[in-house]
Amino acid sequence: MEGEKHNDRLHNANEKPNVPKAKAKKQKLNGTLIHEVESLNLDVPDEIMQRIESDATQSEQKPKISMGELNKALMAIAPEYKGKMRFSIIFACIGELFGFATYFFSAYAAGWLIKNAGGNITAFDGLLKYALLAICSLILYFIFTGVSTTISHKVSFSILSKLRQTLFEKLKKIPMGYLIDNPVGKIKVIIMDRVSDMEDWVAHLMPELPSKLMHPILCIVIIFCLDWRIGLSIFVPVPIAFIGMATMMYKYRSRMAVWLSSYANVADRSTEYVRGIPVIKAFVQDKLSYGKFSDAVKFYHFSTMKWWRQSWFGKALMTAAMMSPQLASMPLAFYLYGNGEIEIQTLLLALVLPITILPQAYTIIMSFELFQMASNTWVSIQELLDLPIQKRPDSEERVNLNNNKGIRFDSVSFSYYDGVQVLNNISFETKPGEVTALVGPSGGGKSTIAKLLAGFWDQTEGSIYLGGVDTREISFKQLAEEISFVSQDNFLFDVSLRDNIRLGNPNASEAEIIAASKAAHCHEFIMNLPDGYDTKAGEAGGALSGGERQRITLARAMLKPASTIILDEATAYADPENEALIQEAISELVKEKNLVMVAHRLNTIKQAHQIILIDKGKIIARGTHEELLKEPLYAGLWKQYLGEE
Amino acid sequence: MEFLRLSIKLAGQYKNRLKAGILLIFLQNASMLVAFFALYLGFGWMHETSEKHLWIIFGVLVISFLFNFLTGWAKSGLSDGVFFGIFKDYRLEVGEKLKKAPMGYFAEQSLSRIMAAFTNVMKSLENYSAMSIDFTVSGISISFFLLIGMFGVNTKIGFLTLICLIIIWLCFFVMMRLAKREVIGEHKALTDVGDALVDSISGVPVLRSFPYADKGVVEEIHAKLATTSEKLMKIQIHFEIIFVIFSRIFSTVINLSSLLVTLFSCYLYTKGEVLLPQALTVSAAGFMIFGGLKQLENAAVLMVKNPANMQYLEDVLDIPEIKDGSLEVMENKDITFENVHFSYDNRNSVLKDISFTIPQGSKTAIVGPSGSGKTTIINLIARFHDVDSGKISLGGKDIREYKVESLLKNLSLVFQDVYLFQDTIENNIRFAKPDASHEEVVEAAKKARCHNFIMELSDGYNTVVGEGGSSLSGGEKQRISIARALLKNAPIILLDEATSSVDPENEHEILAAIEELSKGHTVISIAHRLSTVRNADQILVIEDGKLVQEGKHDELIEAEGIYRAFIEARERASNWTL
Repeated sequence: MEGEKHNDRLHNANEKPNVPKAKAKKQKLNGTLIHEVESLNLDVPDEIMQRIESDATQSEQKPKISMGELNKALMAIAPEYKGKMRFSIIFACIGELFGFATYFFSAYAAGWLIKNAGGNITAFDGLLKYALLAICSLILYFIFTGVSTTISHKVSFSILSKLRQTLFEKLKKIPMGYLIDNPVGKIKVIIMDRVSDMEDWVAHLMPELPSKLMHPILCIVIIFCLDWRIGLSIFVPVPIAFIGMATMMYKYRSRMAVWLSSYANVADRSTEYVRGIPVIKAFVQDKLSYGKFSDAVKFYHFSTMKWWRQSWFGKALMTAAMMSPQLASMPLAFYLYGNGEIEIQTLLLALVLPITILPQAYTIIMSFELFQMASNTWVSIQELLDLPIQKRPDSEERVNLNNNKGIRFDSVSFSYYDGVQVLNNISFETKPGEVTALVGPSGGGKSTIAKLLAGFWDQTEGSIYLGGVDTREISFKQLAEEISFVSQDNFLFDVSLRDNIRLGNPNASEAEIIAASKAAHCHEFIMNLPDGYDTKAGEAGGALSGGERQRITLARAMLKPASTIILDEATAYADPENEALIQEAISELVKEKNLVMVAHRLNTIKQAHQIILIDKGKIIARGTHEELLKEPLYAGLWKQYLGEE
Repeated sequence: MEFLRLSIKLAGQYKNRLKAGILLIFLQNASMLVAFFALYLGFGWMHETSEKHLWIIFGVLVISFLFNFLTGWAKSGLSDGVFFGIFKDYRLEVGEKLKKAPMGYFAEQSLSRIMAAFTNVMKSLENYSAMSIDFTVSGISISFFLLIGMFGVNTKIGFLTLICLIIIWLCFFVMMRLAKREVIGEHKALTDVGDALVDSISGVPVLRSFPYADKGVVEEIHAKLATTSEKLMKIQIHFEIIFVIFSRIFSTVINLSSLLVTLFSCYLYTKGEVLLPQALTVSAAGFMIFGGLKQLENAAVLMVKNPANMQYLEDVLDIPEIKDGSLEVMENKDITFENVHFSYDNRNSVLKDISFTIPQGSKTAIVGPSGSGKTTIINLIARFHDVDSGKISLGGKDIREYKVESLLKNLSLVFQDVYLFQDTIENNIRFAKPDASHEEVVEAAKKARCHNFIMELSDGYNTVVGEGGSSLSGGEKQRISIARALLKNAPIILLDEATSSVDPENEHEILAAIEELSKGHTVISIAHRLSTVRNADQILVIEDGKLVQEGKHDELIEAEGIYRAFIEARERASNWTL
């Protein structure tokens, strides 16, 4: 679990800046680990060695969380269940107490046997009465623990469900850039799989651990109360268990590190082998790649077996010792009884109780492992929960935008969370109704400008104005009404195509919807679907090509009475058969609007009122096409474009 | 039990070690019998326990302890690591098998299933199989030795114990059934929620951009997520509660059993059928041993998960094998399709009666609407799949007569999705020709227009790219894959020109790289660019799986038809202005 690389990170905020002091300490820690690994004489391959190093560094940086903190954080998700959870824990403990009834009954039965020794049997009825009492408390045990479990499970799964809901709601408030930059699958893994990984902890251990811990503790306390000498004698096998554990744990940290890393290596190599197999076959290089894969598998087996072989002795010793808590206590109890120092009831309890500690001890050991897993998992869930949210006025508040003013960027800079600066001091202004084009080499920051304007991210410095108002003063709702961001995205909801289009304007009439569809060149193929506009997007599924879906989303955008359109590589990924149609749809959409477009085919924007040339996060030049041709970078791009055709 | 059978079947060369290990686990629990005996001794002497007796009892317990330890140690040596060995062999075997599978088998869906089998499923099996064998065999042997002990004391007590054990095991089996239902039901519900969630997550940006959607529509959109997650929660609560309550019943029954055995032995004592030490031993030992059965509770879930995982492995890794030919040398590189029919599922034809010839060294462009079967034509040449009827030949011989290896050596495939290994860029390029010198690699990179951006990376050619090439842009990856193909220098190039996954700024560079690659070779491309089509020696126009037009640009453009429509649309697209 810990070995699996958690690629869930949404950003690298925690990994960046390191105080030099902490770094030095860390290196020392890693140094001893590496030294230890080397002393294992395993001949660890380099790639695994590197992995061990980077894993060690990463785990140092991972925030740690204690059991109490984890439970607190979980309960904070659903505080309304706190009372019920407590109730369930108390019930589980009470139930566990009733579970002791059988032990006391057998002690009583032994007393009864001794009393009746010698043949004059009396009062079996009395014994029966106690047996009934014991059965009753067993039933109570069943009821209490049963009720506790029922409640705790309801609570736990409600917590998990609420956690998923909270995470999903969070998605609606974080900067939209995250949603666009991170593949959906990655976010889904956190909300589904990582939350499921918490299940064991939330559903079983959180409510049950206290009562499970109570059992062995109570056993030991009772034995001590009965007779302190017997109490002490239970611990006789403990040193043996310790010896076993010590041999088992010898160089544990480094062995574990090798094991985890060599498994991670197997997983990566297998993935690479399987994923790469089309390439491997195409280049007829199966020997080379299979070799890497099989080396990883063999080393994993080799290092695992080496470790296991060394730990078998200790493991067997520890298990045997743990299974023999009566080793000293049984003879001692018999001896004390023979000398008349303890009662027969005490003898029986002293014989029985130590043995019942065992199954519980196993659960407790397991639970620490589960806690490790749960806390690691929680860290990645917490990361999503902790993502910053953008502060904007309430969605009902509206500000007046000045229609005579366009867009203005005022010394805007932007850095991602990893500290890499993408935009540096960007200032420009557009007039209403004009076309502004952002051009420049890829990776220069053009798209980022478009995304900042649409509010997908918050700029780190400076201000962006729309209609004379700082965009941070405009509610998300109003901003979304003003701005249409059109990209190659073609997502449709699984509702009817009509409803999908109508998302753009809920008050649109049927005629308006059809007009928009016609303008977006999608009316024709929609009418060819069996249910026309009533076809659900999911049902149409395979029947719609990517280009067709995109045209439906364009029809949707056309219905929206936005004043500003941002085009971000809207035709970049269209298949060639569709490209012309999509372009026509876009031409229709942008008529008489403020238009900002990220352009890649310079031909498209030759007539733009203003072209802004951006490279390496800075504005290099601005002007019309003719003016910019004097700029070597732009002239180069233009030449390149001409060469393409 | 099913699981034991499956494990032994899977064990291969480790079969005997596994069996011996199982036997030792069984024996290990005989130490309980020895402890049982110690109790009996103790109660026999209980009124006159001297120091000597104390040491004898202690001695017996030490023997029990040593026996437990030694059998445990031997068992570990024999069987604990067995599953790591089994799955080592299994991984390697499947790896071998994959080499012989037809390329078409590696469709995206089976890839992710194979990967899950290779990683999570096998990991879970190798880690937990030994444990669940341990639990089950221990359970069986504890029951066995308990019966021996109890029958040794008194037949009637023995029978009562037997009845109790039967009930306990019945409970265990019911628990397993429940766990199975839970695992299956929950898995399905989880998948449903996952799917609904993916939809909803993708929809969040849209809903944020269209903030005044009507309530009804929004509710309908969210309804799926809400109902599926509601259902998941219900299923989880429902199954879990039944399961957990049953496990409470299980432990209550175990407690009840030891209570009944105690009571019954007291009763038999009143009838004079058992002696005092026997009755006392039974009361004390009942707990010891019935208690051991509580471990089965932990086993139930594992016992369901493991066989399910094994089944998954069997299903997924049932890998088809491509039929290999024997020819290695081809006379020329002419490619001919003769009446080729093909379908993926034997029902919906993808290609219908396609025939054409591509002479060696010529340039062929395939044109047609998306989904018409263009990619399939290219894939068939590389034997991703075999034709249903008809024949594809290369150099006059059916491609199925060649060794797959020899066939692929003659082809370079440049496709949209590019896979790079987690290795240095240099090694990724060199992959095409392992004995290429550094100079050769650099030359290929220069021709493929990737030398410049490689040199800008921190470690140049030694920069390690992430798995799948994640640290490079689509266009850069594509150019590296072209460099690879250049180094391979195969006589036939299969090319998909689609610009998807390529950033537009790279288009120019990629075009130049492809031109370099095409020089002097047979090129078959799925064409999107006007220049490619205009310069082609031959254009194949495909519509709905059929070859509808064929010829050169100048001829085709004259005729009314798909081709002319395609060209016109392309021209309009490249002249678009705003």
